[in-house]
Amino acid sequence: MIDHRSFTKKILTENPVLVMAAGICPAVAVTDSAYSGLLLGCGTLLVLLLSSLPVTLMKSIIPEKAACASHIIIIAAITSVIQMLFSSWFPYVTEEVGIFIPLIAVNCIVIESVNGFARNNPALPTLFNGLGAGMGFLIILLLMGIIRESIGKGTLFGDPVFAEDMTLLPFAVLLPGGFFLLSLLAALIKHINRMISQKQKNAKNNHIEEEEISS
Amino acid sequence: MKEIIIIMMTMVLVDNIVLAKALGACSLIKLPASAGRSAAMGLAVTFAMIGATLFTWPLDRYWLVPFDLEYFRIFLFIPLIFLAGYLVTAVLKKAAHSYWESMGCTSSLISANCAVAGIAFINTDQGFTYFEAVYCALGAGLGFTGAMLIFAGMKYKIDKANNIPEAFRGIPAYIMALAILSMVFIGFSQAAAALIS
Repeated sequence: MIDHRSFTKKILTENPVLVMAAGICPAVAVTDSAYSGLLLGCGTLLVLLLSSLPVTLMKSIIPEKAACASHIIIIAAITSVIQMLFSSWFPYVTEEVGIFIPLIAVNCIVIESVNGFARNNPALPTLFNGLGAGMGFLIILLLMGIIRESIGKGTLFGDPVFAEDMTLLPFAVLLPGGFFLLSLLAALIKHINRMISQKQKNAKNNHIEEEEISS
Repeated sequence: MKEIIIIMMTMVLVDNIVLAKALGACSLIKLPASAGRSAAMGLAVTFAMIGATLFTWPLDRYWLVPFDLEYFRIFLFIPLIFLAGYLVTAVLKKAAHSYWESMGCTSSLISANCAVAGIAFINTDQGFTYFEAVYCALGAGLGFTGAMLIFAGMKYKIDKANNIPEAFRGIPAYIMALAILSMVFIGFSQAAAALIS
């Protein structure tokens, strides 16, 4: 139950990109096409899951002093594996994403959840936390990739969206366009979170009032 | 000499690592608005970039490329980059301990910085010589520091403004400001590119 709740929390109220401002760099720089956003999101999710599992299982073996260094080596090794797999499976998209695949290893989301969460928690909550953070990142990347590609290039996953060869707003593919879209999404999620918390507060107040009336 | 000046001008003005490549945007948004703190952070990141390039460039050129071991790049570079960040933090702590403590900068903010790692990976692909690579790292660090100082001023103004809509307060407003700064910079960098070429 707790695991399930922490999973949804990571996607909406504690979204790593929009609320915690971690991993903004790849979220803006890569998402000019939906494919590369999807690829980088999947890569980050895989690295997050595969590197937090050994860390959480070996936390009694790794001494406190060597913790940070060994975590970095684990993350670097898994990122290399992911990069090799991706460059053999999806060579063109990997070429497009470029240096951001190696930069998964220094992504704030990965470092924070491996160093902070996986070190101090048992295996199952760690997996749920990693899955939630990775999915939150993946959803934002995919959403931004879809919006920016369809508005800026007139295509979606490489296929044309509109009947004719037209583009609505080429600015969306540029870097400032990505920042603008990210800002709008962050404002939207902040608004949604505020509405949810207000509703919960109202419900609690109503509950207290009802109790007072009934008593 | 001329090439070095062109590389540095390019890294600071045209290919600015934050505003034209979006590397290291997280640390711009996360750090509080203070010019002193931004300058210290920029300085530390510059040193870390130079340190990382000093280690990684020779390793790549004289060991990985001749023996066709490029697939080891990530596995070897990431720990070296973290080592460089750790060393810079340790030296700065020794040199100016009280100042550094008051800054509240942690080593993870420098080591886990996309800009530091990004410059180490970018440098290997560009066919630079050793000195050019180091100057490229220096230029990138200066560009990062400049962007950081400009953004600290913008953040100060945003924090003081009281007519921002409720939903945009905090991080959304910072990202919007970064978008505007980046837009300004793209226009400016095209003029600068025309000037250099």
